[in-house]
Amino acid sequence: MTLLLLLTAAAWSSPCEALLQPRTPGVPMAPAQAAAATDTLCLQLDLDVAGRAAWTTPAAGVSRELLLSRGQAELELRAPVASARLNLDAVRSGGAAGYVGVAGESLLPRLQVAEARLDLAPLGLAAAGGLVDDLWVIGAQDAWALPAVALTMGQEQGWMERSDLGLWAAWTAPQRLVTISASALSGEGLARRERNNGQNLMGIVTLRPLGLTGLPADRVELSVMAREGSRGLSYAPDHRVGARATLNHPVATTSAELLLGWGYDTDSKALPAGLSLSARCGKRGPVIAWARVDWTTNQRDLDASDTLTWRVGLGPKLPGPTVAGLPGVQLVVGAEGRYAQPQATALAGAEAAAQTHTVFLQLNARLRGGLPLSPT
Amino acid sequence: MRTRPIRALSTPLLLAALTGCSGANNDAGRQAWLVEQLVQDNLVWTSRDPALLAAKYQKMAADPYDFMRGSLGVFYADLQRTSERRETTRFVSQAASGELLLVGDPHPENVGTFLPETPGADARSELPGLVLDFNDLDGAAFGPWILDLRRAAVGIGALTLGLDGCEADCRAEAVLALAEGYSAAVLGLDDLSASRAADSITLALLDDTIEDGLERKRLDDLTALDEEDGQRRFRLDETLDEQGAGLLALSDEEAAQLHRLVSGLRLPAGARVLDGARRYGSGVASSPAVRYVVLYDLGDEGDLDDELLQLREVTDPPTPPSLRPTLPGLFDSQADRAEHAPRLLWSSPRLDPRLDALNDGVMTFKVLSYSSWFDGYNHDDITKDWEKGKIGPADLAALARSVGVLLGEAHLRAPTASGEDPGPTLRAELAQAGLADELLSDAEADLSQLQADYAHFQDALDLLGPCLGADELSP
Repeated sequence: MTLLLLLTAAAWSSPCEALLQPRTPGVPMAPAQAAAATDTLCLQLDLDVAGRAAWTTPAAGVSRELLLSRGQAELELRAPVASARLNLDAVRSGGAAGYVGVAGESLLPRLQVAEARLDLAPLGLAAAGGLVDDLWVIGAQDAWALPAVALTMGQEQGWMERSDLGLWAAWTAPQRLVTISASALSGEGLARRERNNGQNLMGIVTLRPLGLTGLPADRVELSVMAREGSRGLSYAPDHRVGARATLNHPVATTSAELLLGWGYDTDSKALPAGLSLSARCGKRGPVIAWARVDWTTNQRDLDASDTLTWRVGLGPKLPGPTVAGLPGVQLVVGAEGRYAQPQATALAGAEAAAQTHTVFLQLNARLRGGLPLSPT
Repeated sequence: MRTRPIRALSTPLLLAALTGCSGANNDAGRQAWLVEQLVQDNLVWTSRDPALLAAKYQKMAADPYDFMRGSLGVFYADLQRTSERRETTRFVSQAASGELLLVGDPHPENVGTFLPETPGADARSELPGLVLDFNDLDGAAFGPWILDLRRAAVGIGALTLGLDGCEADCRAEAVLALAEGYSAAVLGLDDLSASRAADSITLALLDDTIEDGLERKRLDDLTALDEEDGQRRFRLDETLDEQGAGLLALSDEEAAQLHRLVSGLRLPAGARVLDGARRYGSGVASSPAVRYVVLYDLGDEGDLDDELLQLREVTDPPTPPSLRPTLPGLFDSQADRAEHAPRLLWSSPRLDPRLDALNDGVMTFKVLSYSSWFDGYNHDDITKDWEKGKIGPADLAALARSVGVLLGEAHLRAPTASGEDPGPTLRAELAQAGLADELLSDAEADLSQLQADYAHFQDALDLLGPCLGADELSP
């Protein structure tokens, strides 16, 4: 805790202030925005932890749960041109239902990102390699901004992975008018080694039309994505296309995301599709509040295969440091409802599984700080 | 060095993916999906002992019944596969009906005889009271009750594949009997206990078991008297390889593990462990699991008190499609599940007096009696009796009814994952009509899929190699 306080206090009054400005993986700074090159080396630590008490109906098994809904630590060494980043999350050994774990079924840290990154700021170019972020997922997560409350639609449905082994390169145009990125990934996600020789290729184009005006370019972002992919030993198709529109205002942020897939989890016949609409209070909003509706199906040409999930939540703005425009410490109450048609439940037609409702109370702390180091 | 045969399969898939996205060849797609499910299910064996995994796949490829036994995970995954229209159930309308303790894999070969501990009785001197019940509860997990019934119907259906002349009508009669037996047990419509079932298949099993039990056949088959000290020792087969079945001498590592396990055994007072061996070639789904046999006595002179135990590694069961993605239950650990699921589901918690579960590091072993009194149905024996005309469709239906009764009785005994009595919910569900029709329709579809998958599996083995290509993932 002492270390965190020191880090937080030291961050913005140090030579690292410019260097440690928040940045989204896959979105290099525009050339005009590039920070002056220095020989500064900065360490950044970001901890994001959330505990949740949840009540779910219908009551089946453990319906009153105490959960670690978020447990992430990120450590990054950043220099003007190069940076190295590690991100760890917490996973339950033994899986969701298994008994074969480590020291019982302990929670373990798992490497989620291990990335080497190169930034050529004057050109607006960046590239990274290693276990890198899925740039579409991280973009959706930035728009939603509440991963401790719920994962983004693509991640939650298992259609997209948080990260994968591979490389990406990206370029941002002057005035941030457009960002173009390309990724080559193993296609198996962060939890599996490569299964086949066919790499996933993904391209994303993000337009910020307000870059042409005097308004902040990030207020309006329009992104499209296409991925040609394969999964598993047998090269099962795993293609995706997506589109996302995000309106960022200091008071509120709204986002709409559409995802379509051909193949899913080694099932070449699967045709997943989903639409996610979300709105949340921004940094000038009086409270923390969100509302999100996801419509999803694993087979868009199949009748009665839809699932509708809604989420709402509210919490006061607590004093303290802010991270990504939101209070670092949040105490929120939320509710979720899920309605599945007969072909969308795990056992087709099981009426008992058609509706679930959850109410939860969550305490979330996300704190970030940095300090300068001397290169050796 | 082996080439990568996987590419042969991948080429049409890649072409399909690139040309039409959704237009991939259905059969190739199904085969690819099946391979992935099996690879994921067997990943633990892939990394630990690919040769034993290859032997398991060979066993599965040789017989559709054994393929069914080795593919419970595929069955569950298929029920959840949302890319095709699935038949909907009219049951599982209440939450409690979706959180019963399931037997997991109630096919006929997982039913067998037990010799319960009866104080004062001597199994060697009088006709013992054998009991029929499920003898393999490794798949026990919480989920919707109808899954067990549907899986039992697949098991009955797979059994009929080897019975010449047993076609749709014959299968239907058996599946209807299964449903009828289950309903009768749950609704208390009659007092027929499956343990007293009197069909020719069961009578043959009981006759053989009593004969073998009185003769102590398994003990004689597996052990021999040592001429030097007059004590029994295991007959070891030094020529045994991964494809074979039999007993092998323990390696140093295995001897150390068995020593640790034996020190935790709950044996009767005065019992002495006389010998131990590694057992190969048993089972199907769990055939690559570590198995030991232990010879012990009760401390008397001579070999009349010699008995056998089996210790077998238990792993996580396949996850059944549940109401929620995770449905934790009443068990604290794998050992707790391995020991207490049987005690909850059996007609008596002491059905096998030697039942136990032991941990050795991350491995869990279940302990069971291994005398000749503990035997089970064998689909090869049933097929032979069918061919000889000793049994017919009526016997098959009676066997199916017995399985149904056993299943219904087991479901009523164990509390739900929430700790509730499942009886009221089950009875309410069965009060509505349509179970037989639904089960009949599902059974035919499931059996048809099993046959198609069996053919895909055989093709995939030819194409991808003895471990379905996954041996390249092993360290």
